Amino acid sequence: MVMKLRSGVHIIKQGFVSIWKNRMMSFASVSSVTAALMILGIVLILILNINNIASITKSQFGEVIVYLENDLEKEEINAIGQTINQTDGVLSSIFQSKEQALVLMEEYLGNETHLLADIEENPFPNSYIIQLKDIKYADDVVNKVTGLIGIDEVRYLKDVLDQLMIITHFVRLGGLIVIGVLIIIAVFIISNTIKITVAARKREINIMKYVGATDGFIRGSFVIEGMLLGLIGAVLSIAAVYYGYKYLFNIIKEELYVLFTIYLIPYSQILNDVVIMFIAIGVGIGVIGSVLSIRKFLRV
Amino acid sequence: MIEFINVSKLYDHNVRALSNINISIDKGEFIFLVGQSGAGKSTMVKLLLKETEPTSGRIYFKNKDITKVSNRKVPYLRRNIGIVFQDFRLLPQKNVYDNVAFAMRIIGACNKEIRRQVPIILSLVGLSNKAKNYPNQLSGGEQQRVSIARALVNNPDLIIADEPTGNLDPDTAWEIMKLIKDINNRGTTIIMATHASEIVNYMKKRVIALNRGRIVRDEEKGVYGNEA
Ligand SMILES: Nc1ncnc2c1ncn2[C@@H]1O[C@H](COP(=O)(O)OP(=O)(O)OP(=O)(O)O)[C@@H](O)[C@H]1O
Ligand SMILES: [Mg+2]
Repeated sequence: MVMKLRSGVHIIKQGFVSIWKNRMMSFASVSSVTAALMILGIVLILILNINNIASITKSQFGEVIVYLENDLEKEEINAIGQTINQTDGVLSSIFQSKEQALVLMEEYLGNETHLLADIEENPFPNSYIIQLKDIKYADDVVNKVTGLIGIDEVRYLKDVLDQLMIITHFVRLGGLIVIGVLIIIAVFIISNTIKITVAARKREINIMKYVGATDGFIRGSFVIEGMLLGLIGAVLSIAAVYYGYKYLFNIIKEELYVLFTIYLIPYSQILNDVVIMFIAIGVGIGVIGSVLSIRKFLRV
Repeated sequence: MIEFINVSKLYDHNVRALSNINISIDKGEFIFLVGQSGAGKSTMVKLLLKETEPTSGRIYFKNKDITKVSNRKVPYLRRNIGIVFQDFRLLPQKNVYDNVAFAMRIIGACNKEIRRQVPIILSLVGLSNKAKNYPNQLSGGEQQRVSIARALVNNPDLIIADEPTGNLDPDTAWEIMKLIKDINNRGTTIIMATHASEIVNYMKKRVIALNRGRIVRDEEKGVYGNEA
């Protein structure tokens, strides 16, 4: 066990030595991993943020407001409430009375309450605010509720939401395609770079085979090298993406509009999302690249 | 220890490199393999290393038919054989010590063994003071000593040298020859393919002469001869 451990340490040390000795090639490999992951990071941050904006706006617009006619009895109002709650797609509904609506308006106006001073009668209707289980139920719910007796008006920002849904759909799809293509390109670049590295070290492999190294040993040392290269690339790109995003985030916060940042994903959370994913992808690319490129050189 | 029985080798395009070779080599022997360029010397070496397969015949090494050894077991076969080439084949980015230690690491030797064995072997080949040098800082003769040290370090039963003096000037060649002879005196079997007639004639060892893939002479205390 101790011996295994020690030879493991030795193999990793050799990996670093070999990366350093072949530093031109190593630099090329690391740069391509870093570049691919950085682009991936940018796309990812875009997608995450658009998702975030979509879900925030969705919850803001995803309400159906049902204004009731003015002269309903209490029982009628309750009955409407029950019918609404039993409708498919309704998550919950809140009754907002005329009085509550007025109070809310007063709170909203704050110092400007005098604007309401001239009004004798409370102009606000009673209303139900419906939370939908999902946006897709919106049309059904709106249709059903509109047909009920005692309803004055049903308000729902359908057009805005539809647009938003379409946009987020395409951004997500586009993002996934870009990410997929990027990963394939990265594997291709890495395996080519490693192939050149391996070709340059054909002699070394040849000598290893004459001395009696097993294919597993040879492959192992190259795979470890590929893993280390991928890891270095991942760490560099994580740092670049994190600090780059943090920088932008702060610019937006300070220079533009503080409130806008509530729509943005905080940079600390980006770090969480990205670290494991990038390390996994970086190491994966390194391993796949080295396995692919070493195969044909093992036949001596 | 080594036996070739009716071994023939036909490369692609019907190049007949070896025809019906029969030889038997005992442990501790010193064999010169001579013959013109293209006679088949390197092919015999490659067959012993299982770098290539015979078209027909059997080859025994330590009582085992190596033509039946599976590809996966080839590395373990090669660990019993030290190999020395004309062009040294050292790893340029490793120093002398590491080039030799490398051969031990590959077979899974532990650091303690490596630290004990490598200096012994380096002093045997007379390179103790160059352990930290890189191959490009060494003369040809010194590089060949490193490659001999590497071949020797795992205590193989057999050392195969394919024209080990081919790239060296005569004086250096003689020094290398002396080293190989010393190794043989310690009990290691040696097979050496060479064109160096003076060396062969002086050493008075067993000579196997090939001509166009056939053995034309096999004699104890032989000479280089004119067929080669
Ligand atoms: N891989 C190969 N494919 C086809 N023919 C080969 C191959 N290797 C060697 N030969 C042929 O086999 C014959 C024997 O070659 P070999 O290398 O064994 O000769 P050699 O005695 O070592 O010659 P030299 O003294 O020049 O090293 C030659 O005719 C050579 O052209
Ligand atoms: Mg030859």
